[in-house]
Amino acid sequence: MKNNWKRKRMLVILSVALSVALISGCGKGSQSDVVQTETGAPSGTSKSAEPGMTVQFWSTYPDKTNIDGYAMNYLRNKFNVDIEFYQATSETYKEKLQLEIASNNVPDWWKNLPFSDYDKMVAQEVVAEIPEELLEKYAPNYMQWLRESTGEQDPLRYVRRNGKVYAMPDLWTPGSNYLVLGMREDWLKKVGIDKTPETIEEVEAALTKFRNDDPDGNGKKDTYGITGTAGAISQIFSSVFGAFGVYPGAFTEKDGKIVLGEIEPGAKEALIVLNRWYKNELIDPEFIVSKEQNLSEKILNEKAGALENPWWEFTPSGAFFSGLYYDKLRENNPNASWVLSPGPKGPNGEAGITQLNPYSSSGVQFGKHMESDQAKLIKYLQIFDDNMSNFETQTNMKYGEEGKTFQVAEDGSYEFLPPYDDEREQVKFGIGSYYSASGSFNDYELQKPFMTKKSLMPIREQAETVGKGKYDIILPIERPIYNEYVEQLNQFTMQNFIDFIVGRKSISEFDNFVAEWKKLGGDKVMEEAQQKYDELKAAK
Amino acid sequence: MVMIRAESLKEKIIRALHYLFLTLIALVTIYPFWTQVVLSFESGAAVYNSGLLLYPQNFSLEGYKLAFKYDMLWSGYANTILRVLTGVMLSLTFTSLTAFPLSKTALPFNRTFTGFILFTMLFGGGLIPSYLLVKNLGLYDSIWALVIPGSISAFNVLIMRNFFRSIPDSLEESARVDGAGYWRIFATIIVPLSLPVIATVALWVGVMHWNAWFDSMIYISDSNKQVLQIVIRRILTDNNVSDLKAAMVKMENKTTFSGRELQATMIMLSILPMLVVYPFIQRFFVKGIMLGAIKG
Amino acid sequence: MQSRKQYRVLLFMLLPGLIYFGVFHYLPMYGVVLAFKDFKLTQGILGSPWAGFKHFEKAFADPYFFNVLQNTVLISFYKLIFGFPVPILFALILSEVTAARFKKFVQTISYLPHFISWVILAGIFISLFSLEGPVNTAIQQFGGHPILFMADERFFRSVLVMTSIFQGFGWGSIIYFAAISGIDPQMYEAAVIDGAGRFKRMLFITIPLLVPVISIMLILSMAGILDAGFDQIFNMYNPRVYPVADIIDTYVYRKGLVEMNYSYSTAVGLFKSAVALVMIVIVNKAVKLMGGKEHALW
Repeated sequence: MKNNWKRKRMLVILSVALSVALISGCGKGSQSDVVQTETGAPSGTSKSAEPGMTVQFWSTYPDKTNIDGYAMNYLRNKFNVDIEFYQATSETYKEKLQLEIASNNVPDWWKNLPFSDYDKMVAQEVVAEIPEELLEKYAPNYMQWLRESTGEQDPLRYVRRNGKVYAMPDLWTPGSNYLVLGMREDWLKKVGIDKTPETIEEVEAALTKFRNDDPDGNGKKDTYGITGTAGAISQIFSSVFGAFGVYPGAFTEKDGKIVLGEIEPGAKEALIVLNRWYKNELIDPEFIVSKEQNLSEKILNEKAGALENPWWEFTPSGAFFSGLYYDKLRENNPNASWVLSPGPKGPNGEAGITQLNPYSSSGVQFGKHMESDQAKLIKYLQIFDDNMSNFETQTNMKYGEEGKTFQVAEDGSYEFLPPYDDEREQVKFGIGSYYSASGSFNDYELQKPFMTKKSLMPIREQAETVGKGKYDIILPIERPIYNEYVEQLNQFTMQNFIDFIVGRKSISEFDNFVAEWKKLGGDKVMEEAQQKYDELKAAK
Repeated sequence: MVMIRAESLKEKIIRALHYLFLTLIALVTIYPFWTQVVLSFESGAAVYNSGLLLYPQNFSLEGYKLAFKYDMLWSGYANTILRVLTGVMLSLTFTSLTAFPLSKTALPFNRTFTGFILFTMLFGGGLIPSYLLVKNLGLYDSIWALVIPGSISAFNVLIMRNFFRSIPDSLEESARVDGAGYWRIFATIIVPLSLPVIATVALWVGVMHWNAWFDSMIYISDSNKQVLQIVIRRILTDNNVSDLKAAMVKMENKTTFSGRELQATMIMLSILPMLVVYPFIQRFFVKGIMLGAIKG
Repeated sequence: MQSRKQYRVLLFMLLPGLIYFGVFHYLPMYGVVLAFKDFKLTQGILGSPWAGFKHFEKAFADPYFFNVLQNTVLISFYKLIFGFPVPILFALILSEVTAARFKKFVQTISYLPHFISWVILAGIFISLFSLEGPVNTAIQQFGGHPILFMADERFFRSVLVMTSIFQGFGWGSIIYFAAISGIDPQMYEAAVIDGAGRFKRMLFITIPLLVPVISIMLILSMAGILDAGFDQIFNMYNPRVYPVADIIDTYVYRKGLVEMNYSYSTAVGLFKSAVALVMIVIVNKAVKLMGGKEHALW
């Protein structure tokens, strides 16, 4: 009897083990190196395709792209290549990319990884080196765009690691000055202020009246001067800090040294002002708690008269895009209008808001296997370069054939001709904005006619020059010590700033805060920042 | 006579309070859902109204119209329904088949098996090994990748096991006297008497599959096979007016949506089918459903 | 007793489940070693170099770690103590209703919050508890001063617990409804004949018969003891309340935004699992000691 038992047990264990082994055994070895491809459509062929040269384009809109349509064929013919789509998802593409690399399915190229991931990729030898001569030779327009937009002679130095370039940096050109301070112009008039407030004193006076003089005319004291969110250090009323020449949340340069806005003496001055504003009820006390959607609600329900936001939220949507605080606000209140400024001017005439480094992501990177396929690499460079800089290419891909699918109207705007004004026809024909053959590079200057109605162009051009300020200049640089300490330092700073502003902590303790901050690892971070900055300057 | 009437009054008051209390709870509980119903029919600046949302101010069907323009939406529904049906069938079958033997305390190595299964509820290998496994098994880009990996959950097994244990042994004994083996007992006694817990597990598994999206995102590449939640997320990111990249793409078709109302519409499209199906499962949670079964 | 041959049938029934767990749970489990390695994407999990307890040391050396751990434990326990009974009570109260339509209606409504994501619920609650929201308006009616609950360390945890209960009580009550519906109605009939009122019937029949379900739900809920609700907290918190509301998962998430460090998050996950295991064992023993040997897990 007992033996029977032992046998049964062995049998069970064996069969489980066997099945497990069998299932794991089969297939384990078959990890393919083949590059991932897919869509329902078969890759089309072009008569002049070079044998074996197939390029991949990302397709995040599988239902809006036609691999055999006009745009793709245009590229096939222009560059003598065949095309396949790489299915990408707009969310979680980072996880997906990691999984694909982990399973040996490295795509030809990818884009938009934050810099900390870029460094990891380089360290783990997953990315291909891009020889700089090739970039200069085969992507000259791209390089020029980099140089012109950043004002740097050597724009690649931010992505160079150990003397080599592993990425084509992507620039978000609006980043350097997109944030502005908006104030309700109609409220200013209502409370009797004719001149646009410029200095801190003038802004404070305006905010005081916003709070106390019932600018929305509803008989209730339910309006605040200014509101905001506390999502990041650079979001906490940065314009007030800018008035004192400091930029919280950003490493900036001052007299050759790297400084961090939140621990500069100017920050103390700004906090004193903000604390005074808070005590006088000029600041919406819920700024601590507000998320983006709460902020929108407040502004649209006219609960505050000023805020810091991208300039395009204050202009009509036809001028660029969004226009939330213009279009939607005026639906309820047609008299609402905004005046934009870079921020209040401090005692030394300084003004500005912490902005975003245009090198906002690491851009396009190529999989390691591309190092041994230089012809293909060159082809990609050419296609990306052409797509991002060539107006004719863009017009062809977005709008198709002039006279057949689109025409240029008298006011210069582009219109689709029926039946191509129906998106389905566009998709069938194979045109539209859903193709990513430009990598991800957006030359906003080039695309102006597509994005802005001609009549609104002056508004756009005026609004996009208002913003001022500095941004984090070592954002793209690899900083391991920073990565280790940043979370706790930021948390510490945020809590202290909020306490200073609401008066929970006396401003006299500011110096203690700085000392604590340094002890928490801050001085190591500053040391590293200075060192990296010096290296950056030296590598010219 | 007098006694009974006094009792009645007290009972009446308690019952009234009872209903009142529950109605209050219902009203409060339905509010978040109601805000989404209202928002899904709202448009323009009214979308940002603060305060209680009780009815749409600018009634509009634009959100729904936009969603229905996406052909993918329908394939999303179809794929998800398929996933739910397959997943629930698979789960119910194997979860109960696993729970039943474990419900017999006399089963040899019962504690070992239970420990073996329980351990998986706490410890796991993480995303990368699971991903590699699914790929190596050739399940990639098929519904099986979505339905097999999570099919038997330790939690569900243990819940079912304990429910099975509460069924009186006497019933099984009498069946065995009639010569029934374990298969017959399982099918004719255990399962019919466990309908409530089976319905509960079916509901849990069904909802899990209905709402799942991450696995579909990493395991399915053919867009025709994508599940509903992925399509919904697609629609939202496509029309996200505050995302510059999305706006660059939609340059021509500048959307007038703010995001909130569209999000609410998507929620409606996601929840309503479930609400429609739910009443069919609800009958299993009625008190006394076992009335007939036990007597029989 | 039982013919040994019969058990073969049972083992056969068990086999597919065992294979499933073996393949889909135990095979990938080698990934756990990531917690002890320095993960290199291209070398894979097995090929990456060993790092010993480095990641654990790093986690414990973090000045915020113990604060975050404390928050996690406290919030979890509050949610357990206050939240665990609510679905049970709700099921009990609703079962007493005789009007079938009303009962089904209320039951269905009670699930709805479960399906609304925290992204939206958080917005609603932030509005609700805002300075001009209904809660503060009511407080002012009674002569009090408005409080910004969402930014107040004294109240934030309570808000978390209450809103979490609100979201989950309906969905969590399903299992108890299922259990109640399995009770033989004859027992109630007998009790009525004996003169037992509603309350007595609940106390002496329903609740004792629910003890098995309650026990196992309690024990199994220990598996998530260090979870504390990432989705909810992430959407509702702000830096002002980090000291009381920052939990392990939200902290690790923020750290992870800066560097993709699989090993670190695996190590933290492993720590959470280990604690969960200990808690399950403890609660299981407690249940057995309280006389519920059959209700326990093993």
